[in-house]
Amino acid sequence: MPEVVAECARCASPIERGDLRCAVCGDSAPHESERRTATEVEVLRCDGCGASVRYDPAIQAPRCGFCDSTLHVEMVTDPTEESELYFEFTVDPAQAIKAVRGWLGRRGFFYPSDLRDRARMRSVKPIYWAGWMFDADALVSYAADTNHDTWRSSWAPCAGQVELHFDDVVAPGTRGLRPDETAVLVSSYRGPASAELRLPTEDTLVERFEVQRSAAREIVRRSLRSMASRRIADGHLPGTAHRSLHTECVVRSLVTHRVSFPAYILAYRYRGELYRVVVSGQDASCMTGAAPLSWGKIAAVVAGVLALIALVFVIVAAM
Amino acid sequence: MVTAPPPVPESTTFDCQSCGATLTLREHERTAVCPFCASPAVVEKPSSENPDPTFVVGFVLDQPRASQRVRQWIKRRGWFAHGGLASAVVQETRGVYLPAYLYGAVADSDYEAEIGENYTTTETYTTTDSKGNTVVRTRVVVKTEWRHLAGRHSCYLVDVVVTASRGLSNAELEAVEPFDLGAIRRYDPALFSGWIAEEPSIVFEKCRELAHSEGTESVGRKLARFMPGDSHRGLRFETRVHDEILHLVSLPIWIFALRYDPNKPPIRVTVNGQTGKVGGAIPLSPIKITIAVILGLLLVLAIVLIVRGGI
Repeated sequence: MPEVVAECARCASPIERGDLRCAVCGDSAPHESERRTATEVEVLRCDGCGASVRYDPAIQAPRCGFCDSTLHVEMVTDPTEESELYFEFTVDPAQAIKAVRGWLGRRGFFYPSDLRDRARMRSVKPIYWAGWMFDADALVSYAADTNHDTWRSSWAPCAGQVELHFDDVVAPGTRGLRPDETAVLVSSYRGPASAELRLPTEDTLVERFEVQRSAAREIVRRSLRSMASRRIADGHLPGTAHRSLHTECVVRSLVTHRVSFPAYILAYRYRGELYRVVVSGQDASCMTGAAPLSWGKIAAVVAGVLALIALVFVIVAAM
Repeated sequence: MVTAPPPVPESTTFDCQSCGATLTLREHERTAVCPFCASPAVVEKPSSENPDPTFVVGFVLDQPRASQRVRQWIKRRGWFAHGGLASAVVQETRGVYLPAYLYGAVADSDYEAEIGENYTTTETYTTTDSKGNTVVRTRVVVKTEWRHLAGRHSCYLVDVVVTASRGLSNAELEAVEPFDLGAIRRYDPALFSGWIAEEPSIVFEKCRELAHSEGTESVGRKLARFMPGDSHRGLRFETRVHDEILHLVSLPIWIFALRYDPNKPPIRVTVNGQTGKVGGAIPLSPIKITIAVILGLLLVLAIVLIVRGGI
């Protein structure tokens, strides 16, 4: 678990162990430097053999030319991310299967009528998918074209600046689930999240973060910018349509948690084809997935519409 | 909070810790190598006189790899480069930790501009058809209406790097930028051991002004990208910066002195000691330029003669 060692004096974002600078605003992490009162001449010597030590570009560290030992210098560490919080599974596998059957039965007219009855569940895999949750305050500047107060062109420019607060925003870090799947699931996790990992079954897959801290921060920054743009588009632009929306964020107090989110991946087979559905591990009604279309019904509707058009044409021609 | 360090002191002498020889430390340098026993020494001055760098970007390229980059750079110089460059002699090579400032701030800008919004309209025009008759036709044309836009834009200015050395100008430093600041290290004297490390030789306030000016320029570029519409013109802005930070950082630079002509002073070529990017002013060949101009003029003359000859 990353250890927060200080708070940035400039933007109030946490600084974690291994950070030399604030990841948000670039200020230096607090550091106690030695106060010297007189000139000191130092020949750096190897602890092992006493020979003088030189910085070697090949290994990017100070190295003794005689015994090859190296000196440690403090540098940015970029460890692979690890989960620190886990949302608990509150839906069991049986409830997930039942919910998927109900979902298959409610697919609508253009899906096979026997989809629910003939779908054969092949596997129910509980997984913890990885993501980041962050809180932040941001001063967001924006400029865009909207269809409000237009003259001859369909577009008119507008601009503004607004303070936004982001609370528990999820930035997915999973490779197992697609972005459209995680977008559906994120609203279903209501916590509380705990530091203890409790697996519902032994075969639960706990997905690891496969990115380093620096890459994770870039994902969080992108997610925050994208969320800011959505919030501006939804609540701060006049008119009913917009284009060319540009936003710029001055972020403060960006607190990020590495979180594992529970979900079930269900695979079912229908007429020889395999389909996948993902169900939230905290709300069985929240799911997304694929289902086969009934091409017979679609063809019948198209034929019916064409027949209707032909009939209207004949009637009009006869009049 | 930005505080100015005091002025840089004059050169100093000290005894080598290994053999006792007296060494003179050149002004604005904080490292020395004893000419008698080759021991590398790092001189740490009182913090009140000259603060340590906050960060260091370590050398990644050694001298042979930096020389190779310079040779590749010379090969790519193009036809107009001075012919002597191909056989230029390396007169001096130095690997230097260059003092620079890493500047950051929050920039608030009030801006205004004219935003161009395109629209299409149908217009009627008169023309002559293939039979010579005057006809009236219509066409769809794209026009632009200009709307005034004013607003406020706030952003972080991060990682603006400016030189703190009189030995290497900011333009020369910019020529080998960027540095990968993700690989930055906390200052440790061991990183300088065996290398030349310079102290700042440009007064702090001047560096700050330079950084501020560079930061403001980058705001202008950001604002140009920020504007909506199909086009914009007359962008004006006024920027105020606050929450400024300036950290002293030592950057790895290889400096080569190349003599390409025995009658001319050597040229200086710099190499980013981390990424290998090469920068330097290319001496051009006056003979090649003259030949090119004469050939161009002859070509123009030939075309004129051909056209006048009615061919």
